[in-house]
Amino acid sequence: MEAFFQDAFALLRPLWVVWLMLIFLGIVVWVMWPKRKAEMEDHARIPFREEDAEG
Amino acid sequence: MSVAEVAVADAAAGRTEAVAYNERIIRYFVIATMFWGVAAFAVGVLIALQLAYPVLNLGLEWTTFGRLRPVHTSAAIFAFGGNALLGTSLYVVQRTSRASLFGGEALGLFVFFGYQAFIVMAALGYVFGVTQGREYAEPEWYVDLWLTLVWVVYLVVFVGTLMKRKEPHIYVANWFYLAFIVTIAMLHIVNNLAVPVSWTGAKSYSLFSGVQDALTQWWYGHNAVGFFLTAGFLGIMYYFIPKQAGRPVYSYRLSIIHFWALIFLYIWAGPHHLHYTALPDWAQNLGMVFSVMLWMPSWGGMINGIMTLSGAWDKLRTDPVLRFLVTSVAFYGMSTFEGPVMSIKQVNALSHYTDWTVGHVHSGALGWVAFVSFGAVYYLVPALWRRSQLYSERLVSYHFWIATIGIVFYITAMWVSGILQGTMWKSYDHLGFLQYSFIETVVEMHPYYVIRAMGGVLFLIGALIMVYNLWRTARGDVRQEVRAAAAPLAQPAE
Repeated sequence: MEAFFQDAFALLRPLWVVWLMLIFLGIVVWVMWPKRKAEMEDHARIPFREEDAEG
Repeated sequence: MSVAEVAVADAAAGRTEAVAYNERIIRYFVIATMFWGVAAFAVGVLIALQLAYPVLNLGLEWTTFGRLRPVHTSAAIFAFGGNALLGTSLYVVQRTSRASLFGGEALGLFVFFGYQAFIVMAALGYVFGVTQGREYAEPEWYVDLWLTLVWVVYLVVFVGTLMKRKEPHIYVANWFYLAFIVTIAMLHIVNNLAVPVSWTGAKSYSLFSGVQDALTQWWYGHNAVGFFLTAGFLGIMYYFIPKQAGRPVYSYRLSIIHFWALIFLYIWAGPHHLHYTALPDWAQNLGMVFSVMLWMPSWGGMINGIMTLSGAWDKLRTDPVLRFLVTSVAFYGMSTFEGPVMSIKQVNALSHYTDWTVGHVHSGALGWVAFVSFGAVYYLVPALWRRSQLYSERLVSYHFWIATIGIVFYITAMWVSGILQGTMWKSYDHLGFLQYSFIETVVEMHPYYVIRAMGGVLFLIGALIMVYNLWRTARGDVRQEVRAAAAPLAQPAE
């Protein structure tokens, strides 16, 4: 079993650029998912929610 | 929804409440930013003049170009840029978390004075000839250990404040700041792994040697550009441009994609500093390819910053502080276009080791890093000293134009000088011998060195105007002047 994992690791490791790309594309899809539009626009307004005690 | 409406809606929903932010530390950092900025620009002018007029080396070992050059680069990057980043990050993380500083004033003061001590120790070392000889990582082992301690406390303060946050989401500017803090810690520790010769002496030897040493150094060096001079200052962009423009960032989604694309790509770009060296070809090509790919997230980010003004372009004409911020993003776009071009091996064969590189670095350092910091400081001083407005907007405008002309002098002189230098080095006569001796290239470059120094003088004058303006602002003075916004002929741009 250990040999299997070692072989699989040796096979998959050279493709690191593919795995990183897939993770990145996953992030893009997550961010652009239409359902999240309103939530994202709300995040953009965070800098305007700060009131301080003195000001 | 306008910003005002958002504020009302948030207040009604109970989403805003008064927080006692810790601002004394931020004021210290703002003052230090201005002080070290002027120092860095002044030393820069001096060493630029030394290149044009070698007599200014004064014949003393402490004032030679070789010792003052790291004083200039460290003062610009770590003292001016570093204080701007530490100060703005601790301001932004409090405001966007709606929480006061973790660790309170005590830890904040330790980070502030600890960081200034690092700067002074490093600069004194350079002048007295104590250096590791690693570009942008010149300080010796004892200074490196001290900085590591200060940096870890800084990280604790920043992350601790995030963990105290009342805002559920961590605003994107903080992501960029956190990437800057964590990555710089990693780069600093690995590149400075060294064995001191003795516990009582300054000298140490690097753990690495040969091409591994070179690659470690430029993995550090380029990611210092990527995570100190880029990610950190993008944190400034994502907070201060929306605040100064009074409108949210153009696309929050694009800002997240911008962030992750930079994180995934930047770390691989370093080998482009080692084209045509003993570094294996595949590693050189890897560095080149990732450098070219970096063009995409860089321009995505630039578009996001500039388009934040969409529908409010007239503010560029009436608000000189916003002009600083937006012009800085334009320079970011320009230098992140030039960088990938220069990383291509065939272009690099001409540009490397010439003044073209120096010009490229300064379009980024003066145009992007310094301008975005000026914009942030102009925003922060009235906010921190509780003044309703700056002492003089006209002086901001003067600063902007004088500094911009200075940058144009600087980078055009270095383009011409660099390409001249590169082509002279590559010229052969009909027998295959080099056409020019090294000293002939130096003589040809003299006029451009003088123009470059003049550009530096203009940039320094602009910074002195800023210091005067902000000192008067902090005192609470307001200069009587007709604001550009009141000009009757002004038509809003569409």
